[in-house]
Amino acid sequence: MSGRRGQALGVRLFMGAIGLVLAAPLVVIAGVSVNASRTLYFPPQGFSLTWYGEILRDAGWSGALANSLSVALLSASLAVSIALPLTWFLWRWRVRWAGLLYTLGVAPFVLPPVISALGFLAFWATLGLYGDYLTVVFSHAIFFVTLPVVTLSIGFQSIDRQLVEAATVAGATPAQVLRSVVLPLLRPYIVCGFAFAFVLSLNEYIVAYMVAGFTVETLPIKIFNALRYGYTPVMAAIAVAFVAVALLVFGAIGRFGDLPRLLGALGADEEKSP
Amino acid sequence: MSAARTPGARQHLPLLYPVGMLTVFFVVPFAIMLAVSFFQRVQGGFYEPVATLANYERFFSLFFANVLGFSLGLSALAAAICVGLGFPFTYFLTRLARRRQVAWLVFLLSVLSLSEVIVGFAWSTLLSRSAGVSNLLVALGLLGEAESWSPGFAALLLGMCYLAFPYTVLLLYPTLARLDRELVEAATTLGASPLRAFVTVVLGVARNAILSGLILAFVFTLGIYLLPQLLGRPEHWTLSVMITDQAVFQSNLPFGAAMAIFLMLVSLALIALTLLLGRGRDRSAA
Amino acid sequence: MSQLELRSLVKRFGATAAVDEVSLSVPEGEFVCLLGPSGCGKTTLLRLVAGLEEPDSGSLLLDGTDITGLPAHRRGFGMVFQSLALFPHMTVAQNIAYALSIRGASKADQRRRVEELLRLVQLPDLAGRQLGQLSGGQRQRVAIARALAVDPRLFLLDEPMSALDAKLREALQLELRLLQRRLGVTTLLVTHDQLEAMTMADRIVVMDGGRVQQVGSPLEIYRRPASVFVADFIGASNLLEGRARGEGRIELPGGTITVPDAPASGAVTLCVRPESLRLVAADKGAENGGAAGDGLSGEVVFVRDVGQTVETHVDCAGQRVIAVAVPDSVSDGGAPFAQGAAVRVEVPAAGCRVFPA
Repeated sequence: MSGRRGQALGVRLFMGAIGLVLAAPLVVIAGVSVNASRTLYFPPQGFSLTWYGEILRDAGWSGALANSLSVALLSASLAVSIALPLTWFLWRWRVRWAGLLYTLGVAPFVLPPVISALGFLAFWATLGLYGDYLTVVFSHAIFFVTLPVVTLSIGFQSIDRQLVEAATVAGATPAQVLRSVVLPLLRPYIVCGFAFAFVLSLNEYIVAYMVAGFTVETLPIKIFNALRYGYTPVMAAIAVAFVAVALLVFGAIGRFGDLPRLLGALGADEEKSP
Repeated sequence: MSAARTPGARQHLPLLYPVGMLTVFFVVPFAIMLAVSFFQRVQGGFYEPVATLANYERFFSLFFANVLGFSLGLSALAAAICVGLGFPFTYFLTRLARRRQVAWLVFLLSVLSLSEVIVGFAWSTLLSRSAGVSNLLVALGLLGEAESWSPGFAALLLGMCYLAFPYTVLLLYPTLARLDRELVEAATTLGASPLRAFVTVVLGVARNAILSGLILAFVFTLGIYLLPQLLGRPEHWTLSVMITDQAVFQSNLPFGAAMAIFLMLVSLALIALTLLLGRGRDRSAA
Repeated sequence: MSQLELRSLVKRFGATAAVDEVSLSVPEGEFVCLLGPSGCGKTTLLRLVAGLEEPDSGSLLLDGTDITGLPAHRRGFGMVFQSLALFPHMTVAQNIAYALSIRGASKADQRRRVEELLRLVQLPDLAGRQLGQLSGGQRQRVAIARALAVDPRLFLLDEPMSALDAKLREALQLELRLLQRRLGVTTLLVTHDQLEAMTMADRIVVMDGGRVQQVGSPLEIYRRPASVFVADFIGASNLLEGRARGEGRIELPGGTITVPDAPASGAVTLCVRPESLRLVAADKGAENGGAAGDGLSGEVVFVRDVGQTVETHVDCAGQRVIAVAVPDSVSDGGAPFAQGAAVRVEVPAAGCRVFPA
């Protein structure tokens, strides 16, 4: 029995150690962000929330924040709008080139980001739109379209086709079936796809930098630019805010949706009870 | 019995928008990049459509060979560490109660979503002299004086693993979460120790997932571009840094594109090689 | 309430014909069961009727009107699916009112109709419930109520009871049958359970390999199966290999029996229900002076006494014959035969069906 307990302890130590390493930078950043002075010290010297206020007070930082939020909102919406008809089609019809269509939806995110980023740069430069605000929105939408494509595919697969048939026999036209049965069942997956794209767009650096780095400053770009002139606690405050947003969004998905299922495990209802 | 039927021409209409968008904004950019990599650079402008192989020839210098070698080696090392730690971690994770799994997954997703900038900034702070862990060690009396561990190779490797680890775990997660627990139990009743059961059954069943994990971590870390500048020294700059540097700061888009294409080809070749080796082992096992 | 007619329906999936030249006529108000083993095409046939599959050829007529090309949502049928297919994002009431809401009925009308239907399926007061709060039997009834919401012209059910346990299934079968009679709705039910079919159907359509093997009332199909397949699939049958010797005589292992309508010659299969057979002790049969030609002699190899019935397995020169009887009538009112006893199996000609092998 002691051997088994020893094993359990070993597993806990292992997972705890990894958790610690994953959390360490976040803890340090959080500590640094409440420093009373303008220098980075850990453990923090004094306690102050001024640096969080600074994000909104300083025009540079708040502008970057506005850019990041609007880009993330627009590009995530655009990504979902592209993924929805694509995944719907793949679910509704049986076509020979379904694999190709799916690959097209997944490829942007699977390639090394530098390559996609450079592709976008070459494209916008050729069109003469290099540096435009909308280039960031469109590039992010395409780059992150993979996330809603994946979540929506899982969502469509989870819809029992007999539900659609039941609605059809009950007299619903295809459009009515879509509105009254398919979309309501799909809603959590749409929200998830949007949330994933939103959070990752908020944090994305290289694509945004390549297509409009000198004209449209998003928060990650602003942080990187500021790093060259030395570290300030404002950066730490922003990083903390980012972590908080991510925790909030993914926490909500975990609370209201079936997160393990979205990430590929069996659904809670299909799992054998241990 | 299939409810899905073969669509007619009119039924393809809803595809117009998504496929159009992906073609215009993804396939076309990719094609342009491919084309540009064979074009000539123009000082002060972007490029000129004159076919040339000069951009590719430039690799075959000792300098770029070194950069490429370093990039590949660094990524391979990071991939090995990520899968080596990530595999047992994911396995233990899937054995947890569902609620605790969700908590871990939320945490992993949050780490995953963090910008390279923020991760780089956070680690450089953590490893710095003024705000780093060395202070903690000094306080504990383990270290005489606070020191800085960044920039450096170890710091860079650590940062890369930090970025790739959540992705690796999430890639391994489906396979291990769907792994039938009774397989391990069966092995145990047949006399295998837990460790032996893990090695013979779990590793065996998840071999393909491990392979994909290695590839993902490898390709992903190859694409990392900011960390080498934040956590490494100039001699630690990878191909991704060079690509961006050429494309943005040297205004040499053709050469940047050529390097990007080359990087992609090397990645694809390595992926193909890994898959081939995996398949060969499959066949010999069968 | 309508009359349905199928004319030479064919549906192929790839090279195999799931439904192969099926013609059938269902009069108004009849309850018809499509019965057969899995993969026999019964579900595909039902889906063709519902409009969920398009036939490759043949036609469907409802009250004389061709509805072959009519889309499923315009047929006005009610259907209960194998998985029940209740909409998980709707309450019980919303599920039942679905067809009404699609047709734009007013909220008040919907509420009234839902209450009426819930009473009909004996689930009053459940309207506001979520599906997760219902038992298997209750979900079943909700699915039935939903299918009946708009007085369907045709009521279709695809193995609706397969997920229920045996006891509940029996109760619901009876209930469904009474409900259907009360409403008089023309009904098609798919099942692989012959007992279910015999409990509910006015007529049974036995299918195999995409084709109709026999159509008839439950009793007809049981008593006079049209083929060895039907005899074997419906109820228990002894299938005995033998040879026709003319004048109705059939030579079987262990003896010869006489069946008037048997073929004149050739190899035959004789089908006889276990409960038609009578067993007598070998010596008694001889004492009674019974003709040597009307029975088979054999040895008891196994006796299964389950209280309600006694099943006796007899080995007749290598062929296994099973006889079933209620306990009192076994062995002339005495105790069941012991294993190893020599018996004579009396085969009444009336209970036999003979098919050329």
